[in-house]
Amino acid sequence: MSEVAFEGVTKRFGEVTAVDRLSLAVRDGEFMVLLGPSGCGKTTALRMIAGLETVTEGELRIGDRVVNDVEAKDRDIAMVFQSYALYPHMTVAKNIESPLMARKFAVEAHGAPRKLTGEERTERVEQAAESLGLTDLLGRKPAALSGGQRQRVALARAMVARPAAFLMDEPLSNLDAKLRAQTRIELVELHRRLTTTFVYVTHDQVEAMTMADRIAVMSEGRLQQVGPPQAVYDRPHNLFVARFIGSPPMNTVPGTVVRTDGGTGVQLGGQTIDVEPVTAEPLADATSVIIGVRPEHLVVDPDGQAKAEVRAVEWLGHERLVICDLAGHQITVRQSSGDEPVAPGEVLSLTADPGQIHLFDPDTTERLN
Amino acid sequence: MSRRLKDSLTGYALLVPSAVIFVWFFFYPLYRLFVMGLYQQNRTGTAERWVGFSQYSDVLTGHQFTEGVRITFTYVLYTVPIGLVLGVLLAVAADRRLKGIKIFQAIFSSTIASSVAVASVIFFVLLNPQIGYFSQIQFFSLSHTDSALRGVALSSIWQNLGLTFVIVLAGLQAVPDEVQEAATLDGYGPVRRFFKVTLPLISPTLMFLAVVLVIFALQAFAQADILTLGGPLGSTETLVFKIFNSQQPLDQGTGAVMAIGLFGITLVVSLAQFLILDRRVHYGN
Repeated sequence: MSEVAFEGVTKRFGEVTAVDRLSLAVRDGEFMVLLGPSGCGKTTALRMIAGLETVTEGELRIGDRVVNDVEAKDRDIAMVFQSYALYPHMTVAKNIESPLMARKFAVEAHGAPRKLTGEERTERVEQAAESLGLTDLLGRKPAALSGGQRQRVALARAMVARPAAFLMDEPLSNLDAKLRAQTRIELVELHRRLTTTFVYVTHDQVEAMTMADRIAVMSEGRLQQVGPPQAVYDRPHNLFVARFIGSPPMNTVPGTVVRTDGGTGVQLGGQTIDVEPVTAEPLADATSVIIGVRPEHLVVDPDGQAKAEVRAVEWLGHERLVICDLAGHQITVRQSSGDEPVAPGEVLSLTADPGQIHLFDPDTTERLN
Repeated sequence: MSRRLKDSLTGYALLVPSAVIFVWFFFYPLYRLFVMGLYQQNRTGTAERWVGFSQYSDVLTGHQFTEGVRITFTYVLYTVPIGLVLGVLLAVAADRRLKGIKIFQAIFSSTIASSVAVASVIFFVLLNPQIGYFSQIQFFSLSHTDSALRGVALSSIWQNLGLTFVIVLAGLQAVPDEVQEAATLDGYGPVRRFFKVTLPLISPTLMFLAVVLVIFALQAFAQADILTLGGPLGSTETLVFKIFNSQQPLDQGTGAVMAIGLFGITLVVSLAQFLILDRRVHYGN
């Protein structure tokens, strides 16, 4: 059992509330990514799981056990730090062996936990090293390793004790872009192989989207939305999530609701755009809203209702980003490189599938449709 | 002129100022000292006589020098290990994020600001047989030949504690928090963490301190001069004390030889420390 559950957990540092009434259940074996900008409380939440920070209010459970008052060393948790935090004075082998030296392990199915023998430790170290391709490096010190190798040593050290859950604090942020992409794949494979709970903290939405079973988006200490990556991307619960996930971010433009013959439309700068009828209560006429459309959902169409003037075009090889001015607001249109070229100064008629238009309340920032 | 030649000329030019200072104030006096050791002066210092290396062999094997070496090394043993351990303990105690910890850090490091003379006078009073707080502690009594050196050492330990504390504290603060936290999550309690992670990571600092404190102790003079005048019965006459007392013209050759001897000892001890400790010290990345 290695479910990790926050129940109304708050963490305060003096006057500052780092985590505010967080309730989140990470399922057994799940790859959960805590995503948010710096200072959003995601690292503090992770450090509370590790036992490196105390819980101010609420309850934190690992498995069936409330761990609020359980010391870090007794939590059966492994963590990979952003800086890797390897012991610089020890060889790779000693680094990996370290978690096996202090604890007792239930080796026999029914026997009491005991210290591992030297042979058992060596066997486990070699296994972990082999699975991460570190066998040839076991005799080296961390200073003689590359960033990627150090990162793998940190992973091996986390794996070797077979913990109930892995915690990772931005483990890829010190790697170069190419290695980062490679390591993402390796981490997903590692998770599939170990079938252990992973809680992974990052500010990088690409990491979150590519690796997570579920993403928990946080901002200012509060949980904004939890769900599978695609669901969070497709139906952001509020403006923060809408703007934070997606690159380039979702276009968000203020407008007003108008009743049209077909149903609901939104007016901005003298132009009216049809949107999908709001499911809950219909919006009253003249309600202020914020309209959100992802750049890839805007298409050039001669019948398009929105007129936007092209200001710049960014070529990215496989696609291009067209930066336009729509009634005084900057918006981005994503086009494939096969589309007809556009030039600055040109006025585009844009349209979007009504189902791909998101509406948000400008006051509460919550989703309306 | 080739680029390479120009570069090396620039390099030597930049070295000239420090070379001048070293030659003038260090190498030349050392050379003069060495030469002084080859001569003997008359009682009034008006004439000198070449005696050659026989003076070196006589003095360096003589009782005065070997006794000075014995006392000085005993003094090193009294001051350095205890001073280091106490400094580390104080630094570990003060290395935490608490309100008001700066006050303790300032108090613990305050002995840096006191001179040897001040420290000695403080302990002269503390150890005074009539009025001193420590007058009942025979272990540090300045009036007995077997304990006087410990009394002198006590004042040195106290005086050097601030320096040891400050440097060890800086070393501790350079140990990354994440490495400590990793050790915590690996299952180590505070004591094992200290020996497994902290101590190895501050070993370069401790190595530096060990060398510096040994050199301080080898050069100890003022403490003995103020507290005991070298007594009782010469039991606190360190090497430097004996050298200082060789100022009469008749003794100058002897003093010069002892000074060269002390230089040699300091050199050998420091080199040995580097060679022995270097293998056990970890210098990070």
